[in-house]
Amino acid sequence: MVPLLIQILAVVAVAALVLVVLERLGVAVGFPQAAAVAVLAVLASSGVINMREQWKHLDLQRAQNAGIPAQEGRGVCRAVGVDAEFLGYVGSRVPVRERFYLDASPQFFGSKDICMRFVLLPRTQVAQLKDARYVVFWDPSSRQTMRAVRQRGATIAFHDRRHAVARLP
Amino acid sequence: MRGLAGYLGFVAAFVAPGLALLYALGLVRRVREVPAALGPAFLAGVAVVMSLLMLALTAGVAVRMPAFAAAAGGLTAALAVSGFVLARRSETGDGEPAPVCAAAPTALEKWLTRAVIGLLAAFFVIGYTAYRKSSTVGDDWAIWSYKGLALFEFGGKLDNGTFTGTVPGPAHLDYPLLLPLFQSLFFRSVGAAQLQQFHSVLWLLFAAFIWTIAWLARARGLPLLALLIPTAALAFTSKSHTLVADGYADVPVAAFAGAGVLAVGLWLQNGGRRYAILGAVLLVAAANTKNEGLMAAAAVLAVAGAVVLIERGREWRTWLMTAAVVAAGVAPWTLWRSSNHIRSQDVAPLGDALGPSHTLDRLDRVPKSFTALLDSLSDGAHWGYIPACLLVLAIACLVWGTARRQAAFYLAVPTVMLLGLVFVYWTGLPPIDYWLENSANRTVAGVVYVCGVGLVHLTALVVGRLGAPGPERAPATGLSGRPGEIPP
Repeated sequence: MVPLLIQILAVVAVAALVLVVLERLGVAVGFPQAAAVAVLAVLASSGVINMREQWKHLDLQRAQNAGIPAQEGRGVCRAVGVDAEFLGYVGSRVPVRERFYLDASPQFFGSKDICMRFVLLPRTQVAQLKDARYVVFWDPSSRQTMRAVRQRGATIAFHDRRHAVARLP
Repeated sequence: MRGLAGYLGFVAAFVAPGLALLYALGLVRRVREVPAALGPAFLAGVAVVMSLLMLALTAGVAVRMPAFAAAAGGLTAALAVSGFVLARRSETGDGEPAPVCAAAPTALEKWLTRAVIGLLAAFFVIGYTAYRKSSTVGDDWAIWSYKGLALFEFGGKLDNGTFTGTVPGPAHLDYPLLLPLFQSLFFRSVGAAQLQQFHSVLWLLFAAFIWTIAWLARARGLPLLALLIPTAALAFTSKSHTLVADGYADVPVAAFAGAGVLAVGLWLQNGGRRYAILGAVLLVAAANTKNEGLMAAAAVLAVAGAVVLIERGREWRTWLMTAAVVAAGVAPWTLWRSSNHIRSQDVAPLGDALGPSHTLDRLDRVPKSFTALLDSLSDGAHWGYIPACLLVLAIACLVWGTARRQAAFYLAVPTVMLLGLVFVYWTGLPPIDYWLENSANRTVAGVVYVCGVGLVHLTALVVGRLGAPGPERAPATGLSGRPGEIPP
């Protein structure tokens, strides 16, 4: 709130200055005209400063983005804490356009699961195990689902002890 | 090569119907006027084509290349024919309203104007090269590009569960789909899911917005240099660039809303019905892009309605028509969302939100929301000093009785939008501190853009009266169309 009030006072002060200067020069204007000139002066000044900054920023962006391959650019969301290696493993095990069920710890849900689904598109995550052809075990809190899919005769490929992909028969 | 041809074809598929729309509205009449109208044509084309395709999508049509080509081609033909018929009819009587200011610029003004236009053009070209390899971050992967990619991969239809919540999908299923659908059509046009390249399209939309506001204001005869300075200030706002780089929808929604507000503002300044129609089309696009756009459209219609009511003008028919276009444009998505029982994760249903127990229990959220939003608006590093400048100029105009109607309009619209945002944060469900910290600096984008277009219009109007045309030199018409009356 305070910064806005300060900015308003600053613009009013510039407008008053414009009014005085124009009157001294013999140009009779009202306060709205002086305010408009002040606004143009303020915006022109801030615009020039911002343009310079933004130009530099654009150069920086171009340099930073130049070497980013498409897959890398798409997978930036892994920074929320998604294991990139296992994500790649899941991608290699679950064919595109297949439906998979995710068994993961509650902590994985919220944003990590959205990132995983986004990177794995057009593979579709389903809400229920019965609709799935594949099951992804992402550090699950229990082994209940794994036991169930084993009983159904699934082929399970382990990435490590806590991460695996099962293909249902 | 396919990618480049696809990219150009994609842009042309919006420019053509956009130009036809501007022609039908009488805003472009001659071939030599076309180059100057290409930016506005792109923005208007995206608005009109995507609104039609939103209707098709929610009606169950697979929106892929054939539907896209049919919509773009059909609209171009229909609007061009309408424009031809209307142009012939207007030759026989219904003349164009006079521009509000016809002062000839000095040589210095001409040079400065060329310099500013050159700088803006160079800036947008540089920006284009900077953003075409941006990564997919934050809400872009969680919401926008997720949905765009899903529409691209799953046949351009909404019936695969991803959008109805029957399978786990992206966040915020309640957000409208104009932008994801636009993105999926871009992917189809270039032949692959070019997520990085799509940022350059968002940049083009932003450039088209900047172009549009300068073009619209200039078309009404406002002095070019005076309107270019606030336009350029808006173009150089750092937060706009960050949002484009991030691939968020805040810039497109603010761009549609801002351009729509200016068009409605020009209509209220006796610009004629054509500006109201253009404003309605742009506001529909805003409402179909993000929920804030719907709020902006409602705010503009409410304030414009109040202006018409207070003035007791004969413009209520045009207002009704504008409101009807907006309502019809917003209806498909709203109905589809309701019929699929998709609810917002953040906002309580309106009945609950207005309930006394819900609102009173959350009163502490009001001052926090006001403080966070006003702090975001006054963040000079993000938004320049645009809101503060508008406040001073609009209040000065109101107090001293200069361009009072426009000042009231451009002061009231962002104020109502701001109050709408406060209401959403007040009655919303997420923890307030977390929510404000993560969104307040973005949700104000629309408010800032409306302040920006208000400055474009007001400063040009007020400064335009400094050096020249008095009533006797530049005849203009008032809201009610009486010749010789200067707009208040």
